[in-house]
Amino acid sequence: MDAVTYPHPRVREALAGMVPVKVSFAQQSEVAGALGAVWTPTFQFRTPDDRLVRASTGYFAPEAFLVELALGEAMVAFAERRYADAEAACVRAVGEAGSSPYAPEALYWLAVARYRATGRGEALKEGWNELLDRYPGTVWASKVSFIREPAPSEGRRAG
Amino acid sequence: MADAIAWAASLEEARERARRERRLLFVDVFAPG
Repeated sequence: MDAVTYPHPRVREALAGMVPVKVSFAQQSEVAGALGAVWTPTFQFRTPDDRLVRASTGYFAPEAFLVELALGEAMVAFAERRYADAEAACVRAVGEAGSSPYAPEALYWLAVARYRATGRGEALKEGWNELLDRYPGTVWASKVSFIREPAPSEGRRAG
Repeated sequence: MADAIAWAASLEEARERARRERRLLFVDVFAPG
């Protein structure tokens, strides 16, 4: 991260709006343990009042990290019920993701943000259908595949 | 070029700054590369 990702100008720019801090897994093991980190690198996004809203483990190249940072911003905005801000952050995440493997998750959350911002259930359905159309077979598509499953008919139960 | 990243000196300092400035707190738990 220090060699490539953090020096990236756009990553620096994105982090400028946050309060960033590093915790050494080895030298601050008690602090790292209290944060719940079990491996490195672990990244956490926390609200201003220190609620954990997103965490991920593993290296990010700059382009992927820009998606992660935008989604982190979105999660904080969700937690603070700033849904228009969450939507704007998700739009940025989708743009940064392009058609990369990070795109499906960004689309998932954009649909959620649009639903939360507008209260329109159709916004959620439209966004998740776009996810299913564009990225079938992905983990994030599998999370929303239920929207296309037929409702169980009366008298017949799955299971 | 954007300025260098202003890493907080400690988690405690970062928590205080985030609270005071109402900003997102970003934590990187790292191992030396």
